[in-house]
Amino acid sequence: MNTGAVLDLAFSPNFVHDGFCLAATVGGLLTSHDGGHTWASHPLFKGEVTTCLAISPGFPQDHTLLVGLPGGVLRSTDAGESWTTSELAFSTSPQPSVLALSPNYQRDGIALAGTFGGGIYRTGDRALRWQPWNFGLLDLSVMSLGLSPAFEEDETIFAGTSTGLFRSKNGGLAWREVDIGGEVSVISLAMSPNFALDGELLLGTEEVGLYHSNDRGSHWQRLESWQIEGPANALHFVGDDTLLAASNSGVYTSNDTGQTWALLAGLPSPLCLASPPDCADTLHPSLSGPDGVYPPDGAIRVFAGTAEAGIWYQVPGTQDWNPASIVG
Amino acid sequence: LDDGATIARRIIQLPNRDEDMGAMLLRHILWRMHEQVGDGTATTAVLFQAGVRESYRYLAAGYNPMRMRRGLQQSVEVTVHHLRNLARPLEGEEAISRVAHALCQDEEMASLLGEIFDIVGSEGYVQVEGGQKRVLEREYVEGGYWKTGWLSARFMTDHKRQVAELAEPAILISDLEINSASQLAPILEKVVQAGFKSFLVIGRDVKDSALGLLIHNARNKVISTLAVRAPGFGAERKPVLRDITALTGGTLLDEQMGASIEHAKLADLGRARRAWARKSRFGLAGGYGDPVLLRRHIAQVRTALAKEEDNFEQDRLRRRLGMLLGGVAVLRVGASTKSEVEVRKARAERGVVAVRSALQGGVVPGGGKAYLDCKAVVQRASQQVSDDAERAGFALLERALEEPLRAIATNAGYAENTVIARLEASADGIGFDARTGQMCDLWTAGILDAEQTLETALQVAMSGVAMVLTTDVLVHRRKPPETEMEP
Repeated sequence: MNTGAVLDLAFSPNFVHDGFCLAATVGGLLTSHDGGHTWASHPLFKGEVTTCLAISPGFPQDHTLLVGLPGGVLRSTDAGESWTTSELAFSTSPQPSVLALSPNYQRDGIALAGTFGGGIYRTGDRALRWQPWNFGLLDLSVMSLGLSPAFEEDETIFAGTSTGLFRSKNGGLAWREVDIGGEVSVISLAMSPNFALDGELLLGTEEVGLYHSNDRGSHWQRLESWQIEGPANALHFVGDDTLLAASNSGVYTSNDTGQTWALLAGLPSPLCLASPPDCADTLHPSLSGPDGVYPPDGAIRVFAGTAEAGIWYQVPGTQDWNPASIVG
Repeated sequence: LDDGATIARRIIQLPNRDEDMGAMLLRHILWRMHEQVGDGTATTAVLFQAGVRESYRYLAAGYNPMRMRRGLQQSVEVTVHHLRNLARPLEGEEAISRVAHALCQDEEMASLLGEIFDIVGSEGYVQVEGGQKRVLEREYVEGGYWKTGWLSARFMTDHKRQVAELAEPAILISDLEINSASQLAPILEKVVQAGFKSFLVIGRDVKDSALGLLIHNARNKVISTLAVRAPGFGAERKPVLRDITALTGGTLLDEQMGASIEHAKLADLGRARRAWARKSRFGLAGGYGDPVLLRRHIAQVRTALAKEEDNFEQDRLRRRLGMLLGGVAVLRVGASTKSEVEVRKARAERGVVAVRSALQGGVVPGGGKAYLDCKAVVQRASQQVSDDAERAGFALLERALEEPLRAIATNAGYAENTVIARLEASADGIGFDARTGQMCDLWTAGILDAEQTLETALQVAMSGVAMVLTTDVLVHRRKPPETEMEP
């Protein structure tokens, strides 16, 4: 089944037990309950463009899902059985491009939605009401968002826009432009899992490759090691050391924060990358590797959503990639 | 009264005419300092007094005043250079709060100033207002707002909040007078046909049947409308309207460019996520202007601000810049009584100016230590000077640089010579904390001064000293004859 471009992927925090994951695509919302091997189109979203999504970090308890689509954000608190609309104040046609939840969403109920043309909307009440939080944001076309893993302490957020990068150090209350050396379209962002300690983050641009900062985004340097042409569609940290980047020619990996890169998979135009949260010892049957252990030694379990070829995943314990099966 | 400029400003006249001339000169110098920086007037007075006292000694010893002045000017340059070398950038909410606290001695205010400036940066506009509550409050107003309100209360959409609000309006921006329905009808028709739900008209004036047309359409729910007078007066109006066009992506329909409302096109209209107006203010948030063009416009305003020397104009440019950069921070100052509000408000205004100065030029060790650190540099520089009188100018400043620290120690009840002797032998950054009477690391303790303030205080004070040094004769104006009253 052709679902069109896969724009976003998200995993249940309890993925190793429930195997639940979601994909936002141009042709609707896809769900999987078997660890991403098979995906099915959600009946309520068939034919609807979905642009971004997020699963609550407290999903096993609150069953909350958020999905962005032209016109607003939908929220489900019963794992996708039913959906309610969330109002984005003062905007007649918001076009959400990216959704990001606070790591402490269960407690603080904070989520941010980046939109095309409408800037950033924030909710502090578990996505019931959204308000624009654009103080200092000169460019309202937001293409990427990154919340610090230590958001509760440092309240740091980065927003990539069509003409530059903005940083907020107070939870989105106000934004200041970060100089990265010119007007650059920032389409992807990745923050180190140890951002609070190492201050490492990377950004991917539409035309000029990757940039790296190791001082919490104050100073940036272009990564000369990235010689891949075209847009850096997605960036993703897997664990503490491995960094993945997606360009139109495939998925690349680096184990030294971007100093050197190697081709991981020659997938056609991957648009988004994601990996499930760390596993526990009791696993969903479909998740175990060839030797019954997940993850098998040295394996990286990664999913990639592509422009035209659906969803792919790396076979546990190997460097091979398989296409996920998408059923109607 | 707790600032030097206001105290000096209260000096009206001294009985002795010669002393009065000196007092007025000092008053003028301090007010100049206040106008330029808004802080550091007491330091200026102390430096000036020490400089004048020392210059008299050298004059009495027969040194040539003109050559002394040359030496003094050279030594000021050396000192300013060293002060700039000492400066470190001021970064982070906590550091800003500490500097603000040293300036305003108000913990609550310092904490808020730290937060506000960490958010808006040195260029951001911070408006200080009297508040209704007893505490301090801050608000971050997204987008811009200007001091001009709706042209009719009939535009009001929320009577309880007394506000007219438009969502996603098309915005006509002009400096033209719009007084006929026939002027406005063509563009209004296009706006309705294009499917806009609301329409904001900004003009030099909108009245008579043009205003009636907008109200009529709003009343009949054809389209939500709002008309406001173009903000600013005279020469100020056009720059502000250009700001609005940059923010919203519209075109300014300018009388001088031969534009007319009748021929306005949809492409001329700006757009924003929200427009609002009250009786005396109107604002825009989420303008859909091209961010690249907006940045260019911001760069132009920044350049103008860097070149501008007039305080009032600087403030106006800073306000414009704040709006363009995304918003204005409002600090509302409350207290128990009206007079307390006034005192606290004045303190907040001084704090805003001084913190901004510290952010722009960085900070140096406070409590007079930065000046003391410059002494050795001045001394070394004087050794390169061969002329005795010029060297006297260097020596004059060398002595004056100790004076702020001496004043602090004396005022706190400590022996000034002992403090000076201990500090001269201490390491960089170690200074005297007058509150505890202890030596401490001034960087760690947050006892810091804005470099720009110290630099300007030195320059202003020594320019006054140079004037005193080279003045030979005082000319009094003849007392005007008293006119006899008509019977």
